[in-house]
Amino acid sequence: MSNITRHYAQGKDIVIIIDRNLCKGCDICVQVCTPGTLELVDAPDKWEGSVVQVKDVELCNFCRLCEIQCPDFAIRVVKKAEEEGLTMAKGKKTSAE
Amino acid sequence: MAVDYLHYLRADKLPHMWCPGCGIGIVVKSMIGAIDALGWDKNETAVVSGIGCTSRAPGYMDMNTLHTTHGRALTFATGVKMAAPDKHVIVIAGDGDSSAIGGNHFIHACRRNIDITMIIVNNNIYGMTGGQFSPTTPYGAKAATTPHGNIDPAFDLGQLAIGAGATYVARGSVDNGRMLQKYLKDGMAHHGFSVIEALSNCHTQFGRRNKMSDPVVMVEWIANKVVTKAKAEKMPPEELEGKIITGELHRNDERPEYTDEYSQLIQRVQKKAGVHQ
Amino acid sequence: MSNGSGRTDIVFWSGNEIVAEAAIAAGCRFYAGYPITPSSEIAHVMAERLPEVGGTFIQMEDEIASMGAIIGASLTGKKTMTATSGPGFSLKMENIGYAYMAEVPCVVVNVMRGGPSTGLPTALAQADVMQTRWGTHGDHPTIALTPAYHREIYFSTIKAFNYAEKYRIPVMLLLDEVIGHMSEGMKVPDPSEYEIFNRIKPSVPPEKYFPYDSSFGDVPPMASYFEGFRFHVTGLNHTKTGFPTTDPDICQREEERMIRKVMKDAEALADLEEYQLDDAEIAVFSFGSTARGARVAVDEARKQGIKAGLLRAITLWPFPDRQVHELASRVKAFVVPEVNLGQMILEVERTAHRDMPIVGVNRVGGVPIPPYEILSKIKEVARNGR
Repeated sequence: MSNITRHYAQGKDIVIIIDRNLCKGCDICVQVCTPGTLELVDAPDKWEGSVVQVKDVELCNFCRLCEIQCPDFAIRVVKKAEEEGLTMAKGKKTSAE
Repeated sequence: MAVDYLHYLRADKLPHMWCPGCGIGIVVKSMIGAIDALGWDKNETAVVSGIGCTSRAPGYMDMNTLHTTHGRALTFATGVKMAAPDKHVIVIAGDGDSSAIGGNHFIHACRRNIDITMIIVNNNIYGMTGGQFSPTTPYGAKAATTPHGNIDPAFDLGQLAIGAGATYVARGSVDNGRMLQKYLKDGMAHHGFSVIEALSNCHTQFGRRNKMSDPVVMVEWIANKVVTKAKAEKMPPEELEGKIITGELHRNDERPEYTDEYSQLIQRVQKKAGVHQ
Repeated sequence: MSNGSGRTDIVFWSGNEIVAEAAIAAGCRFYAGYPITPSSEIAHVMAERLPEVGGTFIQMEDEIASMGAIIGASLTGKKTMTATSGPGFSLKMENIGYAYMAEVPCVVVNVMRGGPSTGLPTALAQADVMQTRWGTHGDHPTIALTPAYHREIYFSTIKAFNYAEKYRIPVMLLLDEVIGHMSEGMKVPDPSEYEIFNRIKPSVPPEKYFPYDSSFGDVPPMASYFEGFRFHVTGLNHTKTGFPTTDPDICQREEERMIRKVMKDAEALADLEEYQLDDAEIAVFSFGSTARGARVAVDEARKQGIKAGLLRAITLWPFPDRQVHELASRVKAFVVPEVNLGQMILEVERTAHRDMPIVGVNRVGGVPIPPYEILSKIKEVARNGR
């Protein structure tokens, strides 16, 4: 399963991209999001124990505060046209060379 | 236009090493936003750091990066900048790194007015070494080495920079990444030594000992403590008690920049030598 | 090609002035320093001369900063140098270690004065020789040169830069106060008399470049900043990529490589003057200004019928293990004069590795060891066998 999920709003030109691998579940994004687009859910597979997910992309008002305040580069909020050129994390190398 | 953050990062090194909710990530993001807005080329930019949590930032940045010894980032950066004056040099340092062990280098870089942008992530504590108090730990606060409360007065890094001669000084905070990015951009664009202090949260080492172990709570604490300069000017002194002023604190576009001065010196010397030949 | 000074005539320079001029001839274009006696004249000449050749001189706020600045500047591709003396050398130690770990070429001059601490600022000592070898924490190789005559100082300075560039390490140029301050007539060497070595640059494109890639040999090619390679440099133990690691095997392998890259060339690095050693029964081991007095003592001993000879180290580190060991099998005793309380004698004892008289002549009062003191020790050893 890809760590990266993309959420397309129906009524407006908004894409929310979340990299689950980068998220550490700190809750900052959820707290800054006034419309309540995001939520924190349990993630037993991650040592932090929780991870962000999109509750309802239609609530997003494109303030992009979650993206700006995310310390982990885990959330992108962009226009559909901007989605194409974005660099994505390749995942951390774990093996020694 | 959306900033392609990961274009500026070594994406294969992510996720980064900082604790969940650590403000350093927000500062790095603001820094990238500023670099992107200025159109700086990754190949033309060096990012230099010392030791500490903040000093791990260059390792994630896809630029010419230099992780040096504790407190000495500015000395290495001065060497880089003097040897390659047309390149961009950014130093990113913590409060202990820049104002305790590196305090001497800090004031002298300010004095020279060398065109380096210095970002100080001030989280009021030595995080990496286990939460010892730093020169910016608030009076009375608990730290690993102030279990009975801190009796050391704290530095005001902005005033220190202004007093020592920095020609651009601003302060932002991680609760407001947008504002921070603006000051970082202005500081980077400024031709001279610029200091941008970013008030940040170390809930792991500072917060945990001071009833703010949750990152959201600690970022909120910062948000409640800061007042913009514009707002502060209209506030009575009693309301400003205990507040920290953010904004552009100082700017001087008149003072000569150090590498300019040196290149003029070279021209003078070579002209004179030419006359004698 | 010019030697940079534009001089080919006879000059009357102090050792310190020679170091500065030779550094420029070697291609040094960046100097950072902090005032300290008895090395300051090097900074004086660099401040005057570097702008003439388009180079950069900066007086930093302290010794630590000077060391940091020359490492930073070296990463942009420049040949860089700093100069100091005892207390300043102590202060530079952490960043000297950084240059070893990050494999950044640079030259550090230490004009030795009396110590410990502030000691004897304007007076002679040779007491930093072990600090030069072991002063910074952790394992590392050391190249340290101890020239004793003026043209030799010039050539040693050029060699110091060549070794720094060739091995990607900080190279120590160890003068003592007498060598640094004494002026002698000298013909400025012509560039045809020496070679210049410049660091090996990568032959691969940036995407295939690793700053510590030992597949190219024990000294990996070195890119400069701002050339598109965007590499990372750290003082942490690191992999070939330059990024930190705590993997014990990689740390072991890389630290061994960093020592091997120098030590496998120990024979080539050895630079010794052998004087009257062919039939010698008593060998004097010495270096720097003390060796000049030792030579006089050897001559005098010969006149008095004692078969004495001199082994003078021009490369002090790596220590000439094999050469001293072989010499020990041929002579009956060693006399080791040095302006300290017995440092290099430990190396002579270690490498001689024999039950034989090895005696020191030691002074630390800031004055040179007079030849007659060395002579009287030679005579004593010749007479008593110890």
